[in-house]
Amino acid sequence: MPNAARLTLNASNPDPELPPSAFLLLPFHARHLLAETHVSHRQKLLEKFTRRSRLTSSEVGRSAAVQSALNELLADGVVRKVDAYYLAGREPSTQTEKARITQLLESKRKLFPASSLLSKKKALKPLGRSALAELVDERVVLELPVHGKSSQILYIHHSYLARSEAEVQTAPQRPVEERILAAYRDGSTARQRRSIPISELIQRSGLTASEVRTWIVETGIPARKVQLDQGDWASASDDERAAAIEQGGRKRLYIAIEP
Amino acid sequence: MKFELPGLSINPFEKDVVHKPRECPSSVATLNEDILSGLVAAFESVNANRTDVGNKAELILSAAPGYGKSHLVGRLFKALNHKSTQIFLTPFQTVSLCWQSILLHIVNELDYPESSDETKWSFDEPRQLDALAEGVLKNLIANAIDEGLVRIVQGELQSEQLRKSPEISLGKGSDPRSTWLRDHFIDELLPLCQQQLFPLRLTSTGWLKVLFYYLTSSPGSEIRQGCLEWLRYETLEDSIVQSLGIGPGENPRSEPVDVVNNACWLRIHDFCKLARYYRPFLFSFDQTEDYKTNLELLQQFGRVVVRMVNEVPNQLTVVTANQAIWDNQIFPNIDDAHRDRFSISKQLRGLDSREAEELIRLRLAPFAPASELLDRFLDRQWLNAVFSGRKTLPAREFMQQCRDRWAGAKIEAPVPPLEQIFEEYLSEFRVNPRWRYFDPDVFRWLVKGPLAADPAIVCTENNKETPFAELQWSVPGRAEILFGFVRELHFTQWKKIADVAEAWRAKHPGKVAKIVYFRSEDLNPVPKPTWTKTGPAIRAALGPGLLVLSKEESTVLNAARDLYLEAVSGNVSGYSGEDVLHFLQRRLASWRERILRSPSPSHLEEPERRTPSKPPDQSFLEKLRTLVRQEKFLSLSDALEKLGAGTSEDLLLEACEKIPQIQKIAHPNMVVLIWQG
Repeated sequence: MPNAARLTLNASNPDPELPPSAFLLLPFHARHLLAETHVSHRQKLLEKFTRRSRLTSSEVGRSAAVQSALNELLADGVVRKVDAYYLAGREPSTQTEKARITQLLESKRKLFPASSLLSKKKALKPLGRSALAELVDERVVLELPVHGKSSQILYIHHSYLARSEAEVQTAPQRPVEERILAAYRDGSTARQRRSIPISELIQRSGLTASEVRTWIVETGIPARKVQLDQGDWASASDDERAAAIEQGGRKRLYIAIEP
Repeated sequence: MKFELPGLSINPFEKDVVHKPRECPSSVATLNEDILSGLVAAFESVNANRTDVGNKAELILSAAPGYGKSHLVGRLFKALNHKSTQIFLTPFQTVSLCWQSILLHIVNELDYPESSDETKWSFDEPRQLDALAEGVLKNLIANAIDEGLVRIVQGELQSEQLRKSPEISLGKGSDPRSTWLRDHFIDELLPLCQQQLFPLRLTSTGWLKVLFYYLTSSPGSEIRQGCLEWLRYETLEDSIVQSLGIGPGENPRSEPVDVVNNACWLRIHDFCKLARYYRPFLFSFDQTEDYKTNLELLQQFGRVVVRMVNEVPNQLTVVTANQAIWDNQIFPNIDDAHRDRFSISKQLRGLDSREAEELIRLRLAPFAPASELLDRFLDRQWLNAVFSGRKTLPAREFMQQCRDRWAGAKIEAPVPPLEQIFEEYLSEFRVNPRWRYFDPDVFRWLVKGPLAADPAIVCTENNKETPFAELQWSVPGRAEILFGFVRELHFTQWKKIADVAEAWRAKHPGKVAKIVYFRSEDLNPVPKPTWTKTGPAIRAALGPGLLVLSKEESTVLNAARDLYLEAVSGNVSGYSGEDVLHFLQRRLASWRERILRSPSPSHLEEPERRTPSKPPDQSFLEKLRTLVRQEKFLSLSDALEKLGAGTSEDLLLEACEKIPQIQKIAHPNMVVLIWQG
């Protein structure tokens, strides 16, 4: 195989489906004479990838010509290898793992061990672990350490905490108020407190800050459903301060909602 | 619209922070009634099982400052009046001597009147310690009578009478039964009482003698002071040990520190065990927000509470805090193993509009306002506007609304400067002598905090030179200062410290080198006039470092500490603990200079002897009581004028301390006495 000195071709993209890197960088020999066969192997492989973004080694093909074309595509960054071969940009990442794990957790109201959330494929496990840690940090997922003969951590989607089956089944369609009330119940139960930070209410509800604040100001306060409290400004986090609502000339960090 | 009451120049809604629970004004009965009755029930359970340990510490949280935590403790004190011995505890500032700090507070608190009942009053209202000592001794003697160990051959003395009749008193009773008990206690009754205490395994056999001599000696006498020192675990002079008839081994030690601290813990433990023969203790840890500033102290606080609930019987511990600070800073730093020793928290709620109206009526009642003024103030439209969009309001927030309405402020009043707020605190401390009692934690905090606020000063711990010094200031090329925070010591200990001071000076030639002790007005002079042999040497060596505080100086330093604690707890509107600290660093700068100043020869002179003020007599107390009851409210200066020549402000304030129906409201320019009966 010719050496891998590279140059840029002023050529138009032969395949609009391919990422830009596929036509910007080609091996040195391509400038001179691209053997008909070689071009066709490369082209065929790319077409295969456009049909299925993930191909195993056997699906790629084991002939020397195909392997050579594959190596070129890998070297060019057109194709990437993780647990299998993927068209660049379509390979698994922490983000795709987060989406997959979230979907899995949302599918059932149960406690999942990490083993059932992480991919069985060794190469994907580190991505899954990072994804899970991020979801916990973002409080989308709650982790519950269980101590016994063998300690482990179980996971559950935050929306399932302290809610009835009926509520869970209707979760995607719930109106703003219902989601806020459920989030308040969750937060209040988890903290064992009547008042919880407004920032926590926003986070637990999954709504935007403005949706929650609008409901508090336009519905909760006029209906006297909520009690806003100052909390302690000095010890409040930036998130808590950002979520504060002013009432009676004072900024309030905490909220209690009347049943 | 502005409101005024004839003869009243202060705003009746001005005072919106309860500094100490015993000063809590009238309360709206329904506010947080459920929490109060829960605490009373928890206490009743302790009372019914006086030997049990392991009751969780009751945790009271408020979602923001101003919901009335200290006020609730005050209401609890009133609800358990005559049922509990009540101890209010502020944050300690030392890990190594934390139990000593708590024990000092306990003994100080035992000096408060036994009764806060505003409907009853007697000239010689007993202190909590009087009641505890009487109760324990009388119950033990009554038990001995019941068991047939004491046979009454002449006269009438039944065990039930002894338990219930207030006329029979070992301390002050003048009837034949009381006299007989006093005369026969040490030689005949004491052994019968002692043997009942064997199962308690108290750490000292001196308890009953000390309680007896405390009761039977006159206030201010050497013997009584000696009893108080023994209770505080302070070393007694030999003559006092002999007078009390306790063995030399019963005389408390002054060192090493860990032994002293442990002995203080055992004193507290013994106090509660002994109180089984009287009433349970109620301990209240308030202003706990201060612990967030020091992780070591915070963790020690957790250990203290756990030890109290796990090991001390016959007591209920109540802890109050602000929810946000507790949840975010205090609780996460308490050891995991200690967390379950706190109860599920009880959360205070605010006033609803009906309760708010009741609060206004209660606040104005002592001033007997005309009904027209009251109706005008209670305007429904105004109340509705205040409660617009909310069902409840924190009590302080509502009081501030009332204050502004009374003053006719159309917009919210601006935050007053800290100097002005501090002046208000000073006024309160000037009129409450007990608030100025020596508290070593005040000085520990000052020396580590606002007084050390100079980049040239390096403040470190140093207990290598002597166990009676804890902290050191080093100012390169200028000064090496040691600080001790002891209350009272045996003269031999003071002599040892004097030797250390001399050696310290010799070790740092060319620098100001001394050991500093703050000595407040309630402490003995150092040296005492009776230390004829050691006194001059002690004065020569320690004189430059003995900061003998005047009443006003004690007021400033104690008020500074309180202002900071209230700010950390969120009770100083518009200012954080940091703000207050910066303010105090400037305000107290002259103290820094005073401490670092070279000694002048004047310290060798014998200081002017303080003549103890004569306590108010019965006729003066009755005269004052009648005056305030008739007037309903009047200024301190008017009261002085009406009581006639020879009445000093100090005497009048001391008299007010003895009459629970008189409430003092202090302002920078005026003190008002209000009848609460």
